[in-house]
Amino acid sequence: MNRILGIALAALLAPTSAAATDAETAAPLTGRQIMDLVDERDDGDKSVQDMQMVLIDKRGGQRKRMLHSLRMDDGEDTRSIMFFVEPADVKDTGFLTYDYDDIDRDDDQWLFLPALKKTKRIASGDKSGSFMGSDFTYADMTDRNLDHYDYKLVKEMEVDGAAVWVVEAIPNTKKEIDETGYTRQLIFVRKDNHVVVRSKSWLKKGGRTKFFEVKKLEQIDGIWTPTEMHMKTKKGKKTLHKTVLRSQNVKYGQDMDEDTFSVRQLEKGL
Amino acid sequence: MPAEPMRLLVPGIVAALLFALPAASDEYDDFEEGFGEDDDFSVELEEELGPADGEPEAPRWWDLDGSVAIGSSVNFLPHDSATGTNYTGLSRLRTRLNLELEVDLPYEWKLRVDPYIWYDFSYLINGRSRYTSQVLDEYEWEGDFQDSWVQGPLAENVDLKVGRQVVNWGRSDSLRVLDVLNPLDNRTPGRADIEDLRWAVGMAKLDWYIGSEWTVTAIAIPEIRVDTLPAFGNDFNPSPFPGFPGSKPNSFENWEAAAAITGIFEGWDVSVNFAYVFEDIPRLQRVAGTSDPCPEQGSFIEVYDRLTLAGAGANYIFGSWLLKAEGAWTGGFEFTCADGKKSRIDVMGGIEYYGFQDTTLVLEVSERHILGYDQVVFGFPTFERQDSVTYAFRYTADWLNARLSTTLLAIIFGWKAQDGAILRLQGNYAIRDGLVLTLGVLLFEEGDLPPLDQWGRNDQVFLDLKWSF
Repeated sequence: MNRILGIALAALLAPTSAAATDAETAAPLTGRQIMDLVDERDDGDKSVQDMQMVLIDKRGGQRKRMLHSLRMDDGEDTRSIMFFVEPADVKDTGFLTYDYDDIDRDDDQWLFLPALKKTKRIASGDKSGSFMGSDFTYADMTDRNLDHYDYKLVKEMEVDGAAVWVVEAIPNTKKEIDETGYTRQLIFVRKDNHVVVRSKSWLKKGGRTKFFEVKKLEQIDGIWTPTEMHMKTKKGKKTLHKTVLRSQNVKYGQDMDEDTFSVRQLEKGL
Repeated sequence: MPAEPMRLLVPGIVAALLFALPAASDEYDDFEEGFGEDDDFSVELEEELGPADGEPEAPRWWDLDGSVAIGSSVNFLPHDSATGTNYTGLSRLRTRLNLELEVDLPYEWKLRVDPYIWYDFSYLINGRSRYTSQVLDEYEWEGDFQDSWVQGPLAENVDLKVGRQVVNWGRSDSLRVLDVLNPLDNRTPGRADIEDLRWAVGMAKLDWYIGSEWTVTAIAIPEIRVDTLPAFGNDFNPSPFPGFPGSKPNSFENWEAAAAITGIFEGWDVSVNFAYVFEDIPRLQRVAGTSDPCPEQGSFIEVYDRLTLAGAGANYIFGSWLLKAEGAWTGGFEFTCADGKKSRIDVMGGIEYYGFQDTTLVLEVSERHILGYDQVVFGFPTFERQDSVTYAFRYTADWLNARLSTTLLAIIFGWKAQDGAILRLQGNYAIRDGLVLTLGVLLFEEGDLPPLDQWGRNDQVFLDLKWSF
């Protein structure tokens, strides 16, 4: 797998194993080698979970979305399907994605709109848009190609008592900047389990920055799983909006196959 | 180095260093800045979730959802209907209740029942006596069932769905070529993408899934429903005379049928579609014995022609673009003053662009060509050109983290827009979860042909509030 995982939902949906680490190796690792470790994690397969997304505006107003999500590896590719459970006005809206490893292949995405009783195929070239109104983007949800970034280890420090590497990632193509909306990222990788626990991202537009933090990290079925993540968008020192993403009922190795990730299932719902 | 350039260079370097140092510091020195809770943005989450790896609650075997809505429209240009009713001012004050009951049945079967009822207070407020009985029948109140079906597997790769349902074959969001199985509620034209636009129809739909790519669909439709058109006396009905007698074909005595083969592949999909249906809009047929070959006014009855459709549709994506196409041949049309049956070719091409953040742009164009066209069809009462071109442009964008969404929809009739246009601009604002306020304006541009030649003053603003539970 020559990719890094998107830091947000992908981190949640594709958690890491608690396998042996290179934290104590004598030779210092390069930024690229650290991201290879992130990429090479055992990312648990055939997962199902309920997700709560809390959207918080600058006045403290909260909106909630509840989603039921399933995800499965298909070789190097990933299939996922999500259904809205709340709020009621978007309930049963479904979102099906075939996320291809090969960057030359456009992801396949379909949206089921229950109000219109219609499944729409949608294009996925631009991933910088907000995912369901949150501070996470579609780029945060999907895998990204390691080769499209230049990495540099800029610091070693502790976050919440855990040793981390801080890796700077700079996109090396304009296309990657255009598609993700990010011009630069600082990625905080825990040395013991290679989980991305923080990141700071600079947005192409508006002089904004985004701060991602894993607030809760649990081992489920032996797999390190971020179960509460925060993402906030700031301009200067002022926070504009914040999203809290929490998960529960996380299960791995569930009974599912490619039929689970089909337009047929999308239209049938949960 | 000469002294003068040196004098300029040294302060320049110092200045550059002074400006560069804070930037470097911002980049690498304070790795904690920005993380954690902000003093100005500390939020208490309103509830705690259960454990991440806990046992999920046992799913309920039934689910009841719904919505309550109130919506109003105000016509801001003074105008009367063709029957002389003044339609200026309040034209809609409708309260609506929708319920959606879903029940899990044994063997993975599911039952769904969606009843609704609405009442429009504007007729009471304006005075019911101002309106024709046809208008009051169609617009004052209504109660019915939309989606109401049972669905489940007959075999591992075969699903059956029986009951009132919507089957939307079209790739287009605004123009209809393949989307022929469900008639439209067109009592207020211009709201072409709003939910409940299509009438659910009683049918039995069998889907046979072959591998992961192909689906063969067979549909039998015993319930005959047709488009609901502006009633006599409404400001969208241009006729000063009541409709002609006639009725739609009886359900169960007359069946419709349809079939499709659909393939879904990486980056594209395709379908081939067939339908044997009744036309959704009535045709005027001269009563037997009328001698005038094509009277301006005469004895007519309304009939619904049997149509046969064979068509195909496809989607193709590349990057941020989605290309879509539909085409169909439809036979069995008759026109009031023309001899013999005619057929028609419909084609639609569209493109959607998703490359702008939180924005979608859609442009669709359709062409309708009548084969064996007779010039008399251009006159009363059909007013159809041999070639009819329609454009649809849609712009949708989300703002404020999807709290506000805006839509601009323009449907333009005629190659040079000579046949009129409908423009809708609206914004939906989520006041809180499940509570959405919609404000919009619907504008009509008069065209050369009926009925749009008389809709030019039907412009309206609308305000809706909907609470979903």
